[in-house]
Amino acid sequence: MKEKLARGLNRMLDLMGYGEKWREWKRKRRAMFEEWELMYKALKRSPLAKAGAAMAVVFFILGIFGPQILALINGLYSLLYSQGIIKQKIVLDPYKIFAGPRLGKPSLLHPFGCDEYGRDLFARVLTGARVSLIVSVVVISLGIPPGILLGLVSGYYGGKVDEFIMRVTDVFLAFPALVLAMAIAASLGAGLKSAIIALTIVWWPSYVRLVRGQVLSARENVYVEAARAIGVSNLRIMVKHILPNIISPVIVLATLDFGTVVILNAALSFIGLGAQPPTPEWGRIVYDGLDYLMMAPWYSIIPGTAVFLTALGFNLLGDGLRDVLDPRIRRSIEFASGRE
Amino acid sequence: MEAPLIQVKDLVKYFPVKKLFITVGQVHAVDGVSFEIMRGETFGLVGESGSGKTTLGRLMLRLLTPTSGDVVYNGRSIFELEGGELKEFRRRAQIVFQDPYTSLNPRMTIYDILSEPINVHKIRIPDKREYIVKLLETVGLGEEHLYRYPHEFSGGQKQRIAIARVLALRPEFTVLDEPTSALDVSVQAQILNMLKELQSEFKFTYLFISHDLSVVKFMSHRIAVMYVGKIIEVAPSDDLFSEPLHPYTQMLLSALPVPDPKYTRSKQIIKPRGQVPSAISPPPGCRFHPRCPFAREKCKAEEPELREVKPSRLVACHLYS
Ligand SMILES: Nc1ncnc2c1ncn2[C@@H]1O[C@H](COP(=O)(O)OP(=O)(O)O)[C@@H](O)[C@H]1O
Ligand SMILES: [Mg+2]
Repeated sequence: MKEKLARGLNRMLDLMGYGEKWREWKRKRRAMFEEWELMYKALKRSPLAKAGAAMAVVFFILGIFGPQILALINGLYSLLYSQGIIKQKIVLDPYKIFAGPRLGKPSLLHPFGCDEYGRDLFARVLTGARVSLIVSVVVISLGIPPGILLGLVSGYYGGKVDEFIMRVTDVFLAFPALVLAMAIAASLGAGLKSAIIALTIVWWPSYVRLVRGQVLSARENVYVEAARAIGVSNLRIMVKHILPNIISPVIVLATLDFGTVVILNAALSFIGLGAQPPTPEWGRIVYDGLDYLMMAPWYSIIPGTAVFLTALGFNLLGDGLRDVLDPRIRRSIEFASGRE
Repeated sequence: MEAPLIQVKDLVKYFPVKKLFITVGQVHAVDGVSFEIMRGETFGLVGESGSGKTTLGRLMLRLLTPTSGDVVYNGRSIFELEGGELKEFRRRAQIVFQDPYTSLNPRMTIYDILSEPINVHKIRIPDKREYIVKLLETVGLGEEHLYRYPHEFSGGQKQRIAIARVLALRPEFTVLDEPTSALDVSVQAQILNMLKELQSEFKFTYLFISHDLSVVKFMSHRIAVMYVGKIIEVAPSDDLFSEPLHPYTQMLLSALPVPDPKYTRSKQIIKPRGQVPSAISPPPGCRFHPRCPFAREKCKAEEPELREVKPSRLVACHLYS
C-alpha cells in the first residue's frame, strides 16, 4: 500500500518533470533523514523521554486546538440537550459566568468543576494552555536568536567585543531570573504583555553564555581554519561551520526552558504581575482558588497540576534529547542498532 | 633566473605562554626564518614534532599574523593584501592539513564541502555537480560518495576529499602539512603518489611538511631542515642525503631505520643524544650546541647564520665558517 502510493507519487512527479529533482533532493538529504530516524529511535528507547514527548505534544495540541475542542464538546452538549438527555443547556466557555453552580464539584458536565462565579474550570484551564503556549513560544523565539547571535559574535571575535557583551550579560545573570522578571514586569505595569516582555528580556543572556562557550571550542576546529584558508567569510563561517556544530546543546536548553517559561509566567501571574483577570492564566487561577482551598480544592489543584505536568514534560524531553544529541551516547545507540 | 614564487623573509612567530592569565614567557615557534620557493618546485620542510613546521606553513598562508618578518608571494607581501586581492590569494594558495579526521566539517556532505570553494570564489563552470564529480574522480573517489558525510569515510578517503577541496580552486601553491602522517603506511604511499601525479598534471608548487625524512626525500626537490624554530640547513634532496652538512642533519640521517646506501659511505655518523631544548627558552648561541658533539666555545655564544657554503648548499653552523 505504502509502496504503491510512493510509486504513484514518483510517477506523478516524473510526469510533471520534477521526478529527478525530487530524487536528487532526497539523496542529498539522505543522511539528514537517517539522523532524524536515529534520534527518533533513540528517543523511543527511553520511557521517560517518551513520556516527556507525549506530555509536550498534548500541551501543544491543547494549546493550539483548545477552541476547537471546546466547540466540539459544546456541539455534543447541545445535541444531548436537544435529545432531552441532559436537562440544562450547557455551554463551556472560559468567560461565561453562571455556566454552572458556584464552586461546583467536578462532574460529568463540568469535569474540572466551577469557580466562584460559576465559570467552567475545564474551559478555563484548557484556554490557559493556549495562554501558556503563546507566552513560551514568544519568549523562546524572541529570546534565543539574539542570545545565539551575541554568543556567536562574542565567542568568534573575542577581544573587546567579547568583553563588552559578556559584561552586559553578567549584569543580567547576576539576578535570579524570577526576581529580574518581577522587577521588569512591575515597572512595565502588570499584564500579560509585560510578563512576556519581562521574560524575553530575562531570557537571552543564558544563551549568550552557552553559545559563547561552545563557540570558543568549536572555532579551534581544523575545519574552521580550512574554511578560512579557502576564503570563506567570517559570517559564513559562523553560520555554516560553527552554528550547526554547536546547536545541539541550544536545542536541549530551549526544550528545558520551555517548561521553565511556563512556570515563571505562572509565577508572575500568581503574584499579580502577569495576566490579569478574567484572562484564564494557570498561575492566576491557582491564586484565585487559594481562598477556597478547603471548600473547593480542585479549583487550585487542577491548574497547578497543569503547570507541573507541562514543566515535567519538557524537562523529561530535554533530558532525553540531551542523551540523544550527546555524540558519545549516540554512538553507543548507533552501535546497538547495528550501524557503524 | 626566474623569480621565486614565494619569499619568506626573516619570519618570526612567538606565542605567549600564559599561566593564570599572566604571560610568563613566549614559545619561539618560528624564530627568524628565510627561504625561497620556486614555481613548480616541491620544497620539503623536515623537523621533529614541535619544531615550528605547522606554524611556518600557517604563516605562509596568512592563517596567522607574524610577530615580525614578511612573506612575499608573487612579488607582494601577503600581509598587506586586502579585499579582492586577499580573496585572490586565498584562491591561489591552499593547504592540506595533517589530520583529515578534523579538517572536514562533520555536518556537511561531500557535495557541500566541495561546493564551498566554488561558491565562495564564484568559479564559473557550466555544471557544478559534474565538476564536483570530476574532482572526486581525480582523487580516486566517485559519484556515489557525493551525498555522504565525512564520518562515513576512512582516513585516507577523507584526506582525498581534503585534496579535492584544494583542487577545486586550481591553486598555484599548496602547503601539505604532514598529509599522510595520520594514515596507515599502505595508504600513505597511494596518497603521496597521487600528490606527485597531481603536481605534474597541474604544475603545482608545494611546501611539503613532514617529520619523516624518507617521505620528504621521496616528495621534494629541495629540503629545509628545521630545528626549534630555525632552519639550519637547505639542500637539494639528493645532496642532503649523500652529504649532510649540519651535525643535526647527520644525526637525523643516522636515525633512519633503513640507511640509504649512499649515506652509509658518508664518514660522519652521529648517534642521537640529548633532548630537544624547550622552545620557550632556547639555548643561547647555536640551538643545537648542547647536543652537538662538535660544539666549540663559539657555538655557545654566537648564533650561526644560514649561509651558502657550496653552490646551492646552505647551512647554519660554525663548523663551515
Ligand atoms: N596557537 C598556538 N598557541 C600557542 N602555542 C602554539 C600554538 N601553535 C603552536 N604552538 C607552539 O609552537 C611550537 C611549534 O608548533 P608547531 O608549529 O605545531 O610544530 P610542528 O608542526 O613542527 O610539530 C610548539 O611548541 C607549539 O606548542
Ligand atoms: Mg605540525
